[in-house]
Amino acid sequence: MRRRGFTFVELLIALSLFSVGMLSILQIFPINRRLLNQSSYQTDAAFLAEEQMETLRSLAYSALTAGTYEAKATVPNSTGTVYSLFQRSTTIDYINSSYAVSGTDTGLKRLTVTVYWSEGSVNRSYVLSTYDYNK
Amino acid sequence: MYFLPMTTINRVRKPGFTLIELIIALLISGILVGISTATYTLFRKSLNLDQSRAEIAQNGRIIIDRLSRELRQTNDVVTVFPATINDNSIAQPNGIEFEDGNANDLSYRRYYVVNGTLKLDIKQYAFNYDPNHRVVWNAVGTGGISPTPSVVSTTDVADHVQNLIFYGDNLLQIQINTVDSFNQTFTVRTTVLGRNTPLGRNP
Repeated sequence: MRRRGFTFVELLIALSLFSVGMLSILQIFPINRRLLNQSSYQTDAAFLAEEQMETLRSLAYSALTAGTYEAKATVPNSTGTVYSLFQRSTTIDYINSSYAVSGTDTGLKRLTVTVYWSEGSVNRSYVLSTYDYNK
Repeated sequence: MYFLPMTTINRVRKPGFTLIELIIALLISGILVGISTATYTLFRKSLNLDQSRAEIAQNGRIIIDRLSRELRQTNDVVTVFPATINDNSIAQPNGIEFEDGNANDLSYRRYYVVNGTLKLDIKQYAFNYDPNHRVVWNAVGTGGISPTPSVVSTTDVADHVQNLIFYGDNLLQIQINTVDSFNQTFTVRTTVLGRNTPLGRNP
């Protein structure tokens, strides 16, 4: 006579389901970690873009030559090596009165700083842009 | 419900668990509890690590934001820093003192790190012969004397700060390193141009 209760196979299935559930909870950690890194890279990138902006601001309008002002290159090193992760480029364009790129200097320039970095296989960038006029 | 006479030897299998079944059941529940506990412990550990990491990143960001804003407004930076990372003529002072450009009452703000805590001193300068009259830090008094600094107040600004690194002067590069009790580190760097310093007024 078949007794009531679980068979061994049923038990194994139950246990494996439980383990799968637990493992899916464990998946949260690496995701959380990745998001944390993502946000700190974003913070770093924003400040590195600001760094270049402030440097440009210290220059006179005439010193901002149009074209590729700073070619895409690894950010200058500082104490610690974390910045080898980031690359930065700066372009300066002449802008006309309708805010379109112009061939000649009409007294307005657009400064665009882009910071690039990669997270694993994903390439990311942060763009900061402003205008400078002939004072 | 009925009772068998006590004299009858009961050979019928009684309902209930055998010892083996009980041991197996205990073993399985033990495994379940074990897995749950391990998961929970890992969860707590990871949570602590991630929370701490988020906190040091936040501290770094807040400090650099605050310093950038105050340094943009200042009229004068008192501390002298190495010009670049390759400049070894001056040691890194691990702190900064500058004139408060917001209050504009000749008070000075000095940020420095003591045992991982970023502290802020509000200072002022006055000549000994006229202690109630504030002067700039490099003023020259009667007889060529220098003013005496006094600390008005000291407050704690942030913790988990490893160090503050600065390069340059009017165009000042700031780097903040923060570290937590798990030895995770966060670094943030930017450059700030003093809007009221000679270079900032220039172009």
